[in-house]
Amino acid sequence: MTARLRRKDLVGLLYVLPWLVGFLVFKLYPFIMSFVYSFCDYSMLKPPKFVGLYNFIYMLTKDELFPKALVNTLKYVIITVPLKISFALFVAIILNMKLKGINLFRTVYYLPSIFGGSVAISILWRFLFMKEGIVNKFLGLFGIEGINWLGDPRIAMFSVSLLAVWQFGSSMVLFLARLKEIPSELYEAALVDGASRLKMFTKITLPMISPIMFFNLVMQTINAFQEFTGPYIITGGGPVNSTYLLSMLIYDNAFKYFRMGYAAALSWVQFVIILIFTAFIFRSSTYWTYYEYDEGRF
Amino acid sequence: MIKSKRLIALLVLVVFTMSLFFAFSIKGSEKAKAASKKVTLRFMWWGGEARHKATLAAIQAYMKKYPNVRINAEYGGIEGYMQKLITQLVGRTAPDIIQIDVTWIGELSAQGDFFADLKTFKEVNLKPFEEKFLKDWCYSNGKLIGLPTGVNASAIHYNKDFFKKFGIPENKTWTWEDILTIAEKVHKKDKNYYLLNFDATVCYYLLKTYVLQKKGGKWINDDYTMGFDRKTLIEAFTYIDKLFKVGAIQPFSESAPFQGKPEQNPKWLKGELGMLWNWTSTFAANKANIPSLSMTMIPIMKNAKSTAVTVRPSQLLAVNKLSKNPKEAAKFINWFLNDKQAALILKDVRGVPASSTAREALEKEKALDPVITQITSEALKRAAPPENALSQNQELEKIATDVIQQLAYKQLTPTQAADKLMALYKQKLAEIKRLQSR
Repeated sequence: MTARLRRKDLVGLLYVLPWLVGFLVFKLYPFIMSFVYSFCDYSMLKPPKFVGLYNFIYMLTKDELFPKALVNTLKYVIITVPLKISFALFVAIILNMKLKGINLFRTVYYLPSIFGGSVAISILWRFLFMKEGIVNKFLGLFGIEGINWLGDPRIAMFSVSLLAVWQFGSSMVLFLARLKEIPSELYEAALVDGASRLKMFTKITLPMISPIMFFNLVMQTINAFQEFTGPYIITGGGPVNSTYLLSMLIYDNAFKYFRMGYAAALSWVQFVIILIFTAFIFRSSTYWTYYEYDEGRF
Repeated sequence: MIKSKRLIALLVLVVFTMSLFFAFSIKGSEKAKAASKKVTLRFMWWGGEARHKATLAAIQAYMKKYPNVRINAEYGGIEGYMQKLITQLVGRTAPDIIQIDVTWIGELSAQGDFFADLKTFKEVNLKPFEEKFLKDWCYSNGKLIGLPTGVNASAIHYNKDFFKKFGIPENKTWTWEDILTIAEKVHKKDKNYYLLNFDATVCYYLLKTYVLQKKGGKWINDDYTMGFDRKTLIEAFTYIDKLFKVGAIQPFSESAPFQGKPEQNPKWLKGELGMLWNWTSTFAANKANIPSLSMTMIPIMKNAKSTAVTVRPSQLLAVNKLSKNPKEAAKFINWFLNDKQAALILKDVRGVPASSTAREALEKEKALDPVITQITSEALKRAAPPENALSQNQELEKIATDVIQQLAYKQLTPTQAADKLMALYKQKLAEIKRLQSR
């Protein structure tokens, strides 16, 4: 019996070995080392030198860009996440309808998420939203005067967020899958009781999809905190640093100024902030998520 | 139990057989190499379309001439190039032949010894290069880090059609005042047109040039202090502010998506912007987009303490110290920069060649754009002493371009801009000093 178990273990271990090696070498080791480097001066070309808490103190007291990048990142998360999730839900509800050729629409709506975050699309975004871009030309057809999407420091962050919102596909698919699972009896019963559509949505649909809502919220929040490609390519952090995110500050310090130690310290701060936000969402979820198996407790 | 032992034995056997097989195959290929003396070199550079095409053609010609040599081309844009190179240098996977920028030498040499000393190779002929030019730019700690691909100068690229439209004479010597008055006229005549295609980075060059012409000396001194005073800086910022006010520069709010890449600005490509401050080495690439492009000298003040005209190598070609075939790499560089055949293929895609043999070959065939030759030789006559590494520091550039943007968006007055820049510079210079002197 034990021999069989061991053999099973060995085979299993062999199967997961590629992942395990990858995880140890490319995830766990850098994770630990970045923590070590966050207490060092490290330019990559010279060996690291321990400087204690210097990087963290410098970040909080001297780096003018850190507070700016932090506020910008929070703004980005606050704009992107709710917009993206509500848009994903809205589209999922439409695509849940029983219509002819709906599968085609489902595919089409998912497409942006496939090529979404790429450099090419970000460049396309730049040309779409520049002052004389296609979006403003389109608005002009309706007599609407063009908006300075990327050049106005007050609007640029919103324009950049739109790219993230546009990639709503993965959240939408999850919502759609869950929507299809909601038993139709619930709606039928509500209909018999004379409930309005809004009531049905708030009292049946929302509670039933709340676990997926929770999952999407966590994932999208983490993603938004780490956003880099889109804003970096579209605006490069400008105008006047209005879209300069924490991830860009990390990138600039690491790969432009070769201050790896400081960049590591910054990324640990980013990590802790994400951790706090995720923990908060987890904590709060007990008040607003509904799991069907909860009923079994009573 | 027995089964598992068998399985382990089987695994060991498989691994053993495979390693034997690989060992033999490696040995075999080494033998084959030795027999025909085949050499493979990796050559990495950055550039635009014109440069890539010419460089690839030159590589082909070299491989035809020396069939035992194979050169793998690794090329792309400047974006991310240095990051990739540093990672490769640290990981010991950098190519054999590397195009580097002169501004990186100081930083790289301070951190380690990465490049072979080119003056020790008998394969390389240094005679065609001007000795002072090499001394000024290509040496570090007595080592010849790389050879200059071309002579590069700061110049103003301008659109001839634009000049014709507004009746601006082409053969004029520009002054700082001319720029203001002519720019104002242009913008008054047509609101869609601006004389200057300047983003924050170009404005930073202008700021430095203005201050250096007034003050002389260095932008940042070697002892980590600022080489300018508050009064001059305020004056320079006031000048830039005026440029914005008279409509000389397209508002940053409109050109923002092209910050850092003004040559891609659609308004420039359409011919609605007249002048771009840029390097002579990018002239070929820019002219490919704007056929009526020409060049002129940057403005120089009367009684300027320094001309602030930068003349420097376009890039350097260096040999990786860890290269397995350093001699072959050096031989290729020598051919690439000094040989007539190479010169005729490469022409001016890296500016006017720094090697006299290559230059003469091109002049004889009239293959050089006369504009480049003329501006380069004029710039050489007025060249300022080479800039130190600190004056080109990227963190200081980021601070300055941020302040310039705030000025452009009217968040700061020229005086406030000067004060802010000086305060931030003081703090950053202390930090750079701490990092570099450890």
